[in-house]
Amino acid sequence: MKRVIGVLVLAVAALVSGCTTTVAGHANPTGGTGDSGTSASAKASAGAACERSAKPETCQEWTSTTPVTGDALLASAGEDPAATAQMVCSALSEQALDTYLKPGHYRFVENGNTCSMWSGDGELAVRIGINPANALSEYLSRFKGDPQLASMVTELTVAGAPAMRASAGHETDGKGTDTEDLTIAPTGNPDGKGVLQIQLLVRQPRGKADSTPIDRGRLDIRDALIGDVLKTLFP
Amino acid sequence: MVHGGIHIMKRRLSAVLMLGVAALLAACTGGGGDTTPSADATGAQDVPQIEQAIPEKYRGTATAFAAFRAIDACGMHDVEAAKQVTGDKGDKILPDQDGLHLCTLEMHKSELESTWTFDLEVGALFESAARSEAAPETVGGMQVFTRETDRGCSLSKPLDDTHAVELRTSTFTGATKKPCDVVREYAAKLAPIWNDPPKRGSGVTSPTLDLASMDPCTAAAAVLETAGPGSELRPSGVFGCSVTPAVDPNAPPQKTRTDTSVEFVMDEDPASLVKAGIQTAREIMIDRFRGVVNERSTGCITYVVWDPDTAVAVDQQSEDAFPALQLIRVEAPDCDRAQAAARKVMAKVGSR
Repeated sequence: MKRVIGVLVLAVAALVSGCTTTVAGHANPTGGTGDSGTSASAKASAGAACERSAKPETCQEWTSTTPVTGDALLASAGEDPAATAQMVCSALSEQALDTYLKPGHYRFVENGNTCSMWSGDGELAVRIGINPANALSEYLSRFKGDPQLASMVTELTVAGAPAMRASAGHETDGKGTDTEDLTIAPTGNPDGKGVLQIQLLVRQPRGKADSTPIDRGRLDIRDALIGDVLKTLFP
Repeated sequence: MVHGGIHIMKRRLSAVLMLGVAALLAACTGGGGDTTPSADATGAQDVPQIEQAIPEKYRGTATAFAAFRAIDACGMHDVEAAKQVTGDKGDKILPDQDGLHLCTLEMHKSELESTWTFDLEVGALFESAARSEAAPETVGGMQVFTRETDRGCSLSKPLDDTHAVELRTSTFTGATKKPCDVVREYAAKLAPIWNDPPKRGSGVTSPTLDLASMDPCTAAAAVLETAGPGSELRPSGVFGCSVTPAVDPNAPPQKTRTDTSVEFVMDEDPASLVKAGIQTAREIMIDRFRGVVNERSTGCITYVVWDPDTAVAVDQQSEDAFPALQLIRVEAPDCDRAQAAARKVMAKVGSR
């Protein structure tokens, strides 16, 4: 039931803002890179990580790629979202992910535009996408201007960058699947075009009920992990 | 022994299961287990035939559904095994009102004390997302996935990339076992059957439900002929098919249903709706077939009794027992269309 409610909330958010999503859980104020828009370069491919993904049909195996940074990365996201997602997936080293997600982690590109990184037990995930078309201030304006969404929105600073968190109560109740959905101005300028959309997710062990208590403490990696990502991609 | 429902005639690889109470009001076909080896997990040896009018984009799904229809869902249960696992008695076993690919086995300690209910679905949707959240296990030598729910448990054995045989149960007051433990134990005993699924008409269960041998999309195709340009057939379930009108991109979004659906189910005689005094229901005849039209807030349903002579007692021990019948259920936006669609459907398939 919880998952259904989550989907409905996201659908409402997308409907209200007339927008598409880059990362599951994020509604874009305008345009964006498509809700499940698999780009021409994002084709299903068989592989160890994709076999573990929820949507193998829209999954691409991760290939280590030296990322471009800053404005070049934002421009790349507009031109080739899948290639950019490969770069985002390459932002953190194996050792860094060993720290955050523990050894056994895996990563892949999903929906042709999102880097998805998972702990080996499949209970902790970090998803990162880039929307190059909008500024954080546009998100805040759109969400805060809607009575249904305003109460879900919090402004905060993450790893020194201005950010917005949007979440419904069931996403933070410590049961089943909890998520933290962040929209971050990576350059520090909330009016600058281009945001990182980051979702941290912790869920119950496979096979357990949606009511199973989970350890939200695993989301404490948030600031350090995002700080490392920003250092690499927006030095 | 079960008090009502489908009669399981004989089970391969297990003790003889001649159930003591004949649950049939109609002819009971002879025994003889399904001895035909199956070529794949669905038990289908050949590529099943599907309705030609189904668009290419749905033909893969339609082919899978055709293979699932060939599996005898109630034959995938084993009442003796359920008795051993639960320590209870069989109460009833019956295809479901949501489709002939579902079969429910209810257990009880006595007439007034129901215990475990096992819902079995052949061709349940089981996509990658659900698979990635369920726990992979080996049960009875089968690779399956289990998933706890708030009060119950489901166990899925994949049939293909997106469908599975699914066994579900829920706990109840006084239960001494956990639902997932019961499901695992029962599924382990069902493994020989699930690995070689019984086919409909093979005599594993009786009576033979001959409605199950038909393709609901063949029936729905009769409606397609007058549904307007751009309308298409869409297999909506193992025993369901809908006719969806073409979408006008310039038209405002429809708030009510626009499609017409055809489903093959097993349920109480629809005449009971009229007898119960439901004002929106009225009896009709479509050629030699009895039916009932029932208007609802979301549209209108026409039920047609496929074969009044083949009925299954739901519970012979109960004073208010009713026979379940094979029904064709046609749902449309309004009663005129639901009745007209039912007439077209019966004109196409009623002569079989």
